[in-house]
Order: sequence, then C-alpha cells, then structure tokens
Amino acid sequence: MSLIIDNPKYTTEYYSLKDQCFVDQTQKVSKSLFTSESFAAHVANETNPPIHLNEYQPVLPDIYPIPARTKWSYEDGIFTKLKKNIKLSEDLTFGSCLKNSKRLLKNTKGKIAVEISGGLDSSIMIGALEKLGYEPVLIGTFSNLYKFRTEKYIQETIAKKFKNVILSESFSLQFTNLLETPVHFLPSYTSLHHNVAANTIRLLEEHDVKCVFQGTAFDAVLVEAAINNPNDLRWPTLQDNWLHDYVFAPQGVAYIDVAALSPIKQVLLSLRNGQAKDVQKWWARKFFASVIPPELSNYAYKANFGPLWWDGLLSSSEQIIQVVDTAWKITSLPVFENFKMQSLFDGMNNGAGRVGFAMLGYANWVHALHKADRLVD
Amino acid sequence: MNYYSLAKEHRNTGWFLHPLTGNLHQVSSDALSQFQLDILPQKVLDALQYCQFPYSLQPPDFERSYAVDQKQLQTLDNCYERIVFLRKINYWLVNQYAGIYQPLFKDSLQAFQALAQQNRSALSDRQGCLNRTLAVAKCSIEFKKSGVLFIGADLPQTSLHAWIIEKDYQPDPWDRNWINYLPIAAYAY
Repeated sequence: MSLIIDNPKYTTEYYSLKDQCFVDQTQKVSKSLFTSESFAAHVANETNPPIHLNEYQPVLPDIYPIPARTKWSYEDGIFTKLKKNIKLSEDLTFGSCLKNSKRLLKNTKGKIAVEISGGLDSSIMIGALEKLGYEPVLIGTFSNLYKFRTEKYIQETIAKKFKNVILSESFSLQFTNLLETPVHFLPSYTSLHHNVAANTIRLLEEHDVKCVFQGTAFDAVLVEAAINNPNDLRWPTLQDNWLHDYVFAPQGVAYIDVAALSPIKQVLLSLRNGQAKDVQKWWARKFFASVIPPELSNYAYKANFGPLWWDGLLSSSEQIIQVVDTAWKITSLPVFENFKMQSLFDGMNNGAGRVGFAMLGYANWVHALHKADRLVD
Repeated sequence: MNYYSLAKEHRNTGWFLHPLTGNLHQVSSDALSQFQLDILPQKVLDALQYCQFPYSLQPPDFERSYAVDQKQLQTLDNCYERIVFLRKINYWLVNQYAGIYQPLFKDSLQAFQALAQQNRSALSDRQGCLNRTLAVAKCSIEFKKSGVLFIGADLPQTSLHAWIIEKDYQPDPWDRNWINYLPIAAYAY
C-alpha cells in the first residue's frame, strides 16, 4: 500500500515514515540521536546534494524534508513526486516568457525587492521586472575585493536606473552571529548565513516589502543539460528553503527563488530543451540580451566567493569555536573534538571546503537546539 | 621572456612573486616599492587594463576549429613534457626554457585547443595552469607579438594562477578562474 504525503504549506515540513505523519517541529530532540551515522548522513547531503527525495540521507531516523507545496507517494521504499512536475512546451518566445512572468507577478502582494549581486541571474530578474513596468527595491552587498570588480561595476550600472537601492559593503558577511541562529529542525549549511537574511529584512523594513526575489535556481535551470529531463534537476524538487522557512516567513516576508517557480522553470527549460550543459550560461546571456547590461551578454565571467567566506570565518572565529565546542560537549562526536579554525581554512584551500562547512552546519544545528532548550537526554 | 614584477598591496601587506622560486612572498607595505617597477612595457599595461575591466575583452571565437597536424602535436607534447620536467628542478629554469621561442601555432587559442586535444585543459587538469600557459607562450606566434602571461594570487587566500591575455582576448576557452586572481607578475617577450 502506498502512502500519500501532501505538504500544502509554503514552508518545508518534516515527515516521519515510522509514524506516518508530519512531525511537530517544536518537539524536543534526544541527544542520543547525534550519532556518527547521523553526522555522516548530513555530510553526504551537503557534499553531494540529493536531486530526488530518494537520494536524501535521513539525519534523524526515518524523517524526510517535504518541500513546500509538493505531494508525494511512498511505496516499496520509493518516493514519487505527484505534483508540480514540469511538462515541456514548444514554440515559446521571449514574449511568452515575459507574459508568463507578468501573470505570476499579479499574484504578488506588496512591494518586491530583488537581491542584486551584479551577476547574470539577478540582472535578468531586474531587467525583466523593469520591462514589465515594475520598480523593485534593489538590495545587495558589494565588495571592494579585486575579484568582485565586475560585479561592482554591474551593480552600479543597474543601480543608476532605480530609485530605491540599498547597497552595503558589510551587511552580508558570511558566518556572522551564529550564536543567534534561529532554532531549526534539521542541520543545514544555509543556517550559517542566517544573518545575511536577517539584515536584508531589517534594511527592507521601511519599504514595506512582502516578497524578496533571489536567483539560486538559475544555476541549475540555465546551466544543466536540458534534454527532455525537466524533473531531473535539483531545483525545485528539493530546493533549499531554509532562509525562507526560518528567517523570512516568520517576519511575514516571502523569499522566492524565482527560477524554482514551476511556471518559470517550465518556460526556461522548454526554451533550452535540446541543449548541452552551458556552464557559462551563454544561451541566457543571448536570450535575455535586451534586458541586461551588454557587458553581461557579451562576456562570461565568474567570481568565486571564497574570500568573502574566508573573511567571514576570520571575523567570526570566536563564535564558531564556541558553537563547535558546544557541539562536542553535547554529542561527543570525534569530529568536534579539539577543533581548530585552521582546519576550515585548510579545507577551503584544498578543495574540501564543503566538508568543513557541513561539520559547522551540524554543530550550529546542535548549538541552536541547545540554546532553545530543545534537547533531552 | 622577461619577468615584470607587479607587486601589490593588499590589506596593509605587500605581496610579490619571487622570480627565482615562483613563490608568493609577503613584505611590509613600506618595503613594497623595492619590488615594484617604475615603467612597464605598453603591451603589459594594455593587458593589465583588460584584466581590470574583463568585460572590455572580446569574446574569442571558441567555435573556430583549426587543422592541427600530427607533427605540431608531437612537438607541443615534447615542449610540454620538458616544461613539466624542468619545473620540478627549478622555476627560473623552466621560464628560461619557455622563453626560447618555438613558433608552432598561429595564436594562443589554437595552442590551447591543441593542448586540449592532448587532454591538457583546465577541465582535466586544474593544477596545470602554469605548464599550459608556458607551453602556449613558447609556441604561439601571436603571443610573441601581443601576449602577456600573468601570474596572480587569490588574496587573502594564497593560491596562485597563471593565464594569458593576448591582443584583446583571453585565449583559454576552459579557464573560468583567471578573473579571481590579482596579477602580481607578468612575463612577455
């Protein structure tokens, strides 16, 4: 007999296969569940992100994250997605792409803000909104580091065209204020960046913004090979909604991954269907050329964010050590014993950065549960 | 090829590349001037401008295909293997060898594509950027005229990377990382 698992909510819910029901996220967690197996499952999920629920490794026994607004069946050990599967269309154009976006925007309440990074994805969103007659609030961080020179230039170029622009050099330093991470039900790398989202909300307070658009899923939709496989991409099947669930939604703001919205994904993957992997997003640079700065359509570049993470680690060392130390005292997992910050820097230098951040994400989860008095022996 | 120091200050510390060892060195900001040059050749200055404003580069025609014969590939293979061998012995020595011009390819794009045919591209060997760029600089006709080989540092991390700017384009189709590195040394004929 198959189980039907339906999450109609706008936030991720957690389902227990053992109890055959969604779990109460405010329930206390037993310290005995912090095992080596649990930690290994988390590291596997973070270093090789699952595309389908079937590939997810449960961090708490038999408990699975069910993405917002999705419905699944579970039978013979296999999850099957029943809702929001993408069907490809033919004969789509740039015009129909805009028309689809306009229809979606009609359902949006309140003002819209867009994260402006100076890269291609946010520039496409801003350009499309502008073309449709919207005047979003632009919010983003810039860096004076050499490697971000192109992003900064694009941010300044776009910002000149809009009235409400919030650009700050410092507000989004990664790994900041970990001691204040909202308590959360399962560990997540994204929890390490909660302060970026908290600051975004704070800076947008006076603008009465109800929706913040971001472009994480463009990295899948515009890059991966699109060969009749629209449901084999990570987004939105198991999209990462942590910041929406734990930072934005509690404040009444929606944090929307635009390219993960089914209608947008459907249009983009239909348009790209038949294309090979496009790491530099050349198709998108040309297709959206009329709404983005020419520098983005004529040239492909890629800054890596390592130095921002590096700086964030440096400036938050004390809190990071405290978080990992707490995790060691509570879990006794060897990975947290005698922790040194240098191990994170070494990991970044030798290509094992994600493993270090997975460790930190798990420790941050334990710390947040401990701080909220949600642990039992 | 000539070595040009582009020693830079980053967060109150001076950084330069030692021409004999190829190692990245830190000095105090006050001492940095002794590692900086007053005058740089125009082609190095032009290439530095392209590094600073990458969107002003022309996208090269990566789809262009070249007829490369077996003899060219074999000679390139020999050069590359010698570069790998000499680099194990001494950084300065390998630069001297690479500087002995051996025209094989019309331009650096053609040379990079030939290397890729030998499974030597940034896709298959991320650590081999210096070996590749030295081989290309040695064998590209256009490089001798207009090319500059840069070595840059990813500060405040300290990893290094080598890349080429030739005329008005960056000729390695598979190198997406060069933009992250601050140029601290240049080599040019």
